[in-house]
Amino acid sequence: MSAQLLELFGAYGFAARSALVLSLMAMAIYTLLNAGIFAVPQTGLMAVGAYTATILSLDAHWPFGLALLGGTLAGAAAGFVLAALLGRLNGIYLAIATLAFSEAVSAAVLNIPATGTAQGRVGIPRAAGDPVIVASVLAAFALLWALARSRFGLAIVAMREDSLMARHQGIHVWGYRIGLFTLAGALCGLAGGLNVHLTGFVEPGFFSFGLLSHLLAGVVIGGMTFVAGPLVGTGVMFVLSNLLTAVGEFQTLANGVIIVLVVAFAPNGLIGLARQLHRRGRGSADGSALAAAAAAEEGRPRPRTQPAAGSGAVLDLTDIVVRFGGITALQGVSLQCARGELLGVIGPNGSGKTTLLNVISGVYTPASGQGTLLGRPLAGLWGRPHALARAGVSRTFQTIRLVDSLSVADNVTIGLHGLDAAEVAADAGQAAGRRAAVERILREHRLEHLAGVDVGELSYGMRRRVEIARAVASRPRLLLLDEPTAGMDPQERAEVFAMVAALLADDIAVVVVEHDVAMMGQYCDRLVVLDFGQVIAAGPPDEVLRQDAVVKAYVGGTGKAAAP
Amino acid sequence: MDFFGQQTLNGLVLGSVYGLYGLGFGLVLANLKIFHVAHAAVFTWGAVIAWWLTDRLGLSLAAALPLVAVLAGALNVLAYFTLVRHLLRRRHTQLAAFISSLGGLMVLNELASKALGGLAVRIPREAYPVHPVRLGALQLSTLDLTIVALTALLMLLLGWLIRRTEFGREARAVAFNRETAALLGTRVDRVSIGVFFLSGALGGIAATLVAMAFNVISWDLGEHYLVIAIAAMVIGGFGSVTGVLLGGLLIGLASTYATAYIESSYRDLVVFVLLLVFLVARPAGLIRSANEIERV
Repeated sequence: MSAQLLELFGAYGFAARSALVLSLMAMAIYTLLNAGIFAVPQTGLMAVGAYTATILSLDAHWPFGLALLGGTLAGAAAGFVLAALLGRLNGIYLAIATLAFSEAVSAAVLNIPATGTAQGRVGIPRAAGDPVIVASVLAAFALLWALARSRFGLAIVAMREDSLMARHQGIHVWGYRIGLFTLAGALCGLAGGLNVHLTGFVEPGFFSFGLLSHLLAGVVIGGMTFVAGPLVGTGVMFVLSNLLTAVGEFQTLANGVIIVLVVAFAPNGLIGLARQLHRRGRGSADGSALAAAAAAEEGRPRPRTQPAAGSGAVLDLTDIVVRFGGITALQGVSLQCARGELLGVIGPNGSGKTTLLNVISGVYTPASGQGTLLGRPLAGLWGRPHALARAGVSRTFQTIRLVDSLSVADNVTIGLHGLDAAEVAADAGQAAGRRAAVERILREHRLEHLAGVDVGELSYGMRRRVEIARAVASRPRLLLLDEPTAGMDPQERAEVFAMVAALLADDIAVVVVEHDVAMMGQYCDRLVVLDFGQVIAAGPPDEVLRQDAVVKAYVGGTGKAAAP
Repeated sequence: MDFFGQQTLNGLVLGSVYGLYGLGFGLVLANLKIFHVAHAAVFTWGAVIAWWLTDRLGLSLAAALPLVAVLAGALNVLAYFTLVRHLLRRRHTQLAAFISSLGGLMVLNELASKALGGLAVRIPREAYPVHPVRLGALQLSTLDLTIVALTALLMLLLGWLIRRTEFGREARAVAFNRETAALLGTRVDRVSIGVFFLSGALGGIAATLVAMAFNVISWDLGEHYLVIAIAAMVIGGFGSVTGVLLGGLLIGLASTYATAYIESSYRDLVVFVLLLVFLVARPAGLIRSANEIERV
């Protein structure tokens, strides 16, 4: 029954089985690193799974299958708890904390009698035959592959490339993080359970920093942002280590050198390198698309429609105060924005314009003040951009925040993340789902000819337009634009405002921050002027721009100039 | 009480060394926001160099220590150029630098193993004769006193360097914000080289002291104390000099008490429980500095 599939490796059969089991660990490393989560708890999680499976097998006398399941679940649970406990840590600190977790598990193992402490345990049934190992690896790979292809995969890329941007697309980054830690834990637990039932023993020295280094090396060599990266990397390491063992005892040395070289010269690993070469060979396919794009862009500005009559406040802020340390960036700002209204926010540099947008979109929690969005209190939503995005707020950023390595269509798809399938279907007017919705949005924004082009290859103005298309993809009720026309020529600026006007006709409320006072006066329904974090004027543009306080704020008069 | 006093003293001696080692990581972390794990191997090499100078060349420890500091510092600067520098302008610098440094750790560890022929060696007793010293009821050695005095001296020196010199001003500016410091004319590359040299030198001295205190040098010396150094750094607060020293002392005391009052196998567990408690409850450490918690 349990035919040994891997007999074809001959004398290397055991090494091949072991490498396959460890490829599950490499997949767990990929799971976290690919999402931009710089965490390395894998050996600790593997130990949790390995010892749980050992104890279930030897002491509770559970059959192999159940012991393996137990190990997997224990790993998943440990991953979940760890993610929940370390929820606030990021970057290098998370890496150190997770490294410490692994060491703590090792130290705990030495003090729990059931683990056999330093001696470990022997006599575990060697029940992990080749079919189980191969099936586990294939199943894990299929799962990760499907995940990467799904909309969750796109959300994970967004998270990796720009976590703040991702949160503004309605992506619950913390939720994803906990989910991915749990998944990584399950993979490690499975690997641990398989490994003890492959070798027949468990000992604490196995789950070492050296093992982690070896696995990380594999993932990096393969390419840590590719689903196949862990498998390719583990395969390369397997070949190298078996070749080099034959040559001499320079394996670790060679591994180290290879890691340094790969990181320096092929940061996306072997798969990334292969893709890059392939792309270079393919030449200028994208170039022609860009040329067609330029041709399609001739003229055609949309007419400015009449602003819809403001009925019902979409956004209502009262006395918002934001402090950064000793600096009060907003000192009691109140403003309203109605349905179909284009509200302009102007003011000198440092007056608090972007801070105001950041409060509305949920980056900052105000020190005091209230607000409502569509009549709903904002109190529970401050500081939670993904929740605000789902509540109907969408924005663009002062510096464009798109994922350069993804196509225009994929970037716009990320903007749809906050909508569930039913909403997307309702929006597209059919059951065709996200793809149809994205096609419609791209058509509306005259970007359909660029759908497959990577955003990184587009011009600045074009990228701005893609960002706006992404922002309105989710059909927000309130759109925030932070200097949407910065760096554009007058023609492009007019086009952006024409597009905004079309949105207003759909009853969206728009708050726009810009420096060009004349243009804001021309297009906005109302202006709010900020200076030193306070509203110094608000109302129709003609009235506001005539006020002395506004002129002073811009020109810098203090009254002295008027004196004789 | 005497027993307690004796253990406290031992803990403080041990803790000073942990603090010195942790500080090497902490300095680099504060300045470049990267986790330079290869520092663990530079630490090992510090001890290996000390062994060479004393055992092979017959130098006294006093003569060897400055050389160890300079050579370990130079090795760390070499690590900066080969492992780190080219990655600083990358998008995912932290991750890339960590992995690159990990590769460097593997290479340097392996070279240390080859250099020692896979054996554990000792710094000869002739290099630094150790005499017992009685302090009331407490038993000490001249080595203990040297360790504590040297740590205190190095900390004072480091504090002066960071607070009072041009280099220190630049280093603090870079630690606060590397890009802005560069824009304002700080020679960030020179500062990085200086920081790597300093942390390597501190690591080399700490390694020599550890090798003396535990009377053994092996290829995995640095890795052996890696987690303890990390713990000192986490508990003390990432990047704060005083904090890391305090963290080291706390770890030294905790592990000594654990060995003395519970059982030696609980030593590591106590350290890690302490570490995890800090990570969960107070991730910024004892002394809050440039912490990286959920920054937008």
